[in-house]
Amino acid sequence: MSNLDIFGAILGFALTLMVFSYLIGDNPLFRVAIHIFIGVTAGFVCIIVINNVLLPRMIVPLISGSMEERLLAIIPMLLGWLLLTKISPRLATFGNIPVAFLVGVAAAVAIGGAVLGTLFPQINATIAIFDLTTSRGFDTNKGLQLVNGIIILVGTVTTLAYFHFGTGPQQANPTGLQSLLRGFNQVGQVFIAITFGFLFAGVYSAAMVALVERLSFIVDFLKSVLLPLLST
Amino acid sequence: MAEINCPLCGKANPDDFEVCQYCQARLKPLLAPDSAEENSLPQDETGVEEPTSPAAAEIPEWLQELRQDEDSLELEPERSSDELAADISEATGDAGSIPTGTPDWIYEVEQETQRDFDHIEPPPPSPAEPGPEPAALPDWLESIRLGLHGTPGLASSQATEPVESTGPLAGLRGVLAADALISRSRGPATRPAKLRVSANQLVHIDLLRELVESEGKSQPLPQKPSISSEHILRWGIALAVCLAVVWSIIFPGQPAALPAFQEETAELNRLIEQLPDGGQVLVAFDYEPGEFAELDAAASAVIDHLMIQGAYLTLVSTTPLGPVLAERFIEELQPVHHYTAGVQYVNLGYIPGGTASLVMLTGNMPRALPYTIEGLAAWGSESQPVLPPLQGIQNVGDYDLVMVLVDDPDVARAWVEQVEPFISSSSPQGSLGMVISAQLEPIIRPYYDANPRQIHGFVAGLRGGASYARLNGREELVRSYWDSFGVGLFMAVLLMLVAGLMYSTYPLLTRPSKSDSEVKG
Repeated sequence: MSNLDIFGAILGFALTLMVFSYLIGDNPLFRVAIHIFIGVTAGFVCIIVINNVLLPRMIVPLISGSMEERLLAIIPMLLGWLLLTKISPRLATFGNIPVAFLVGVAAAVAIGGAVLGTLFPQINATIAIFDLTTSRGFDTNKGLQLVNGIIILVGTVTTLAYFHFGTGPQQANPTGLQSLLRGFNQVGQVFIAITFGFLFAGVYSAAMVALVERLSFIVDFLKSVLLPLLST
Repeated sequence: MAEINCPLCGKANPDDFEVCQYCQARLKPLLAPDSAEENSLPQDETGVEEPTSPAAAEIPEWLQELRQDEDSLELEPERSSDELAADISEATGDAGSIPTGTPDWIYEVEQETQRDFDHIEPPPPSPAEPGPEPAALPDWLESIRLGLHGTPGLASSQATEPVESTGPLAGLRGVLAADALISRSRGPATRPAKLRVSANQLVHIDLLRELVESEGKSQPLPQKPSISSEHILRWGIALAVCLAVVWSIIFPGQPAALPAFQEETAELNRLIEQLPDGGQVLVAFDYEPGEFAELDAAASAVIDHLMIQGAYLTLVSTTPLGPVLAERFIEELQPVHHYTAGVQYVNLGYIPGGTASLVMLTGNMPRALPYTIEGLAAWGSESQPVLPPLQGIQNVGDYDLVMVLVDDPDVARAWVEQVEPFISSSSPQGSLGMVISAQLEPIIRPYYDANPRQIHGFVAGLRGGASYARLNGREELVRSYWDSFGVGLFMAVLLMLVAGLMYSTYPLLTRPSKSDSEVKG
């Protein structure tokens, strides 16, 4: 193990303990560790953007690229300069051009993808569950497939009904439609609660793996670095 | 040239003018006093000067008629106070009693004044200066005088009032001075500066003042106990979980069995097994450093399987920190598989643009990602051929498999929405697989359950990675985490059960017994 590895291990050990110190409450050690992480991340992202984006995609084509590459590099450079005018209140109007371009492209890509990639396929999939002639891999039991489809259909409808707020305030004698929607709401709440519970279990699982990894690192550090240093 | 001020408008006029040149008011009295006759003018007992007789030509006719009428009147002798009091008593019809409508104190003052007047004898007229005979006033005028002054003694105050000497009102007493009124500067009407504030308003004013003043003062925060029951509970839970995990790390016991594979894991395994020799795989490292522990543990068995299959790997990332995580990951597996950068794998680095950048992958990849993370021309140049992992690749549809390691649901959905339709339409054997965080499974699973599938196989969390490792017989890749992970989960479940039992039984234990309630009742 080189000296650099030992230094890195000591630094990691110290930062890990500083983050764990949050168990006793907010304290300067925890804040220092968080600020170090944020600063290092910001600096690293800046270097990545310069080395991985600006230099190879704009500077190099402008200097040593063909005429086509130079023309193509001028456009993002101009848009980038216009974006910098947002700093000045007087010139901020010019910055609206690249902002409009960014927002427009992002919205078009996101909406198009959501409609064609999620909405229509998922609706189609919900309908296709009841197509018992379609093979679904390992799930060959048609009865289970039908029950699964019914559960998914009920869950989808009642969850959507839960987000319907048109029933108005509680009334002593609700109409038939209001009673139906309230029943759907209650069933939808059950599905939403199950979903949130599942999500929480996933979050806890991910956090537990992170805890195990850090504690393993601490134990390994104590075994391989600290104990030999103390023994000598 | 001498000037004279107008008594009405106050402006200066030459002294030879009779009337004001501005307001036409008379500047000089119509009856100019004659110095020779001035001393012989009769004066009444109050000292009032009788107006001098103007020239007959200057007196209007109406005024001459009025004077003739006055001369024809016979002046009555002034009546004594006793006579006046008697008249008053007769007028009220109640002699000797308090007049109706007169307050007591006024009546007493009147009586005292009357008694004072009774003791005073009128001075005898001076023989040297006999004086004019008192004018005889008509009854109606005398009654008005009594009504105005109340008591005869007040009539003497008229002696102090000035007599008008000029203008049309010359000779009259008590005339208001016009020039003084006009020339007087009139400032704004004074108002009392002190507001009338009620006691309730004063209370509100004090309250508002306290509120405004307290805004600028720092209020001391309430002292919290340094160690509360919440702290003890938090430390207890953390200590229990950490001790259990550390114990399992230091003293590993009987290794726990890895979980059985699930359908989606087996599907991903099948896709990798079916890769051709030298198959090309695009691997996206789209997770943050905070999630590397779970994602590395889950993906290690999958990437290991790809390397066993001898696949060429192209590493990309839509997050700035992704390329470094990718290099680190490959470095971890380097001692086993000896993958070399630029030969078996190439790291194309960061794809800027977020979701829109994924669209670039479906277009012209050489233009979208021209260089490796080391700065080399990834797609070849005059002096360098195309790197092996990129041979024959023009877009993402040319890959045999696209594998995404992701911890963000939005990023995962973007890959499904933007890239998967292009893969399915351009290549019948192309597939999209994922290694995801456990918290993403409820979001990603519907894409797998769809028909046709939008994700062709995935591994979720450490559990999915462990089942994948078991499927390939590479259990050592996840063994170090799996046992401690199981202990930690067991401790968490145990704590939840204990807390649930305490929560449900505590109200029963603290409820007063029936005998106690009867005694109190």
